[in-house]
Amino acid sequence: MLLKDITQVVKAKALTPLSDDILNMEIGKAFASDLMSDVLCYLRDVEDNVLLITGLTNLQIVHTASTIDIKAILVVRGKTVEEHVIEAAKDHEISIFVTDETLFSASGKIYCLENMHD
Amino acid sequence: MIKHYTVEKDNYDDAGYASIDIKKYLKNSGFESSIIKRISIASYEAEINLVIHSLGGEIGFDIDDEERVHLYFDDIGPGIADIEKAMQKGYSTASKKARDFGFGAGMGLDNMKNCADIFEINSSKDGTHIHMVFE
Repeated sequence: MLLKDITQVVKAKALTPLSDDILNMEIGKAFASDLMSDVLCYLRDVEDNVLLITGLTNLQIVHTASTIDIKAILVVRGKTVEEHVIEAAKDHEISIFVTDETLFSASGKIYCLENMHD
Repeated sequence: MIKHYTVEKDNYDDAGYASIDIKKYLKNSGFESSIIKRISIASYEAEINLVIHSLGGEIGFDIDDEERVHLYFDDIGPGIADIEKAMQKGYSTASKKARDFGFGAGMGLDNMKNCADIFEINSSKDGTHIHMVFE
């Protein structure tokens, strides 16, 4: 599935600059968690482009994403992401989006989207 | 030692910088992305552990003549009471603050062990010492 399809289905707003390359990024896997420890553990061997869906908004979402080469983060529950976190994401070439959906409903909508494309 | 970093207790804001710096160095040195990922994950997990659990510590990073990467994590206490238990997935003594930051799920030591080719740990009340080797 393409990143632009995901952002459309959850009506996500981009907090970092967008480009055609970013919007057309093929996302092979999405992982929803507020625990970065689990992200580091369960995505260790994944080689696809991953979307991280989380309600966490601190700097560690960027550090975690950078550590395992995650290129896109979707923040749920309409949370505010502080400017220094957005700046860090830009430095690491990671895109951050925010949606008003909950972790559960965002994941559900994205899951259905993925199945449609299978 | 190629690089050396100091990690402060409870400094959540800076947690991860050493690991990101090590990753950058490995990338610039032309290491394969799969080994860089293993090293980055293990390094970040260990760095976070220093912030969450220790009274402060040091990180060392080196590459030997056989191109093997060595990571050293040495803290000044208080030590791990039961290493065997701490190695179990899901066992954690992390504070609420650590969990609020997305850590303390009890996966760290096990994840480090799985990422590294050699994983050595010893701990006493005077400190915990971890040495990891990546081939």
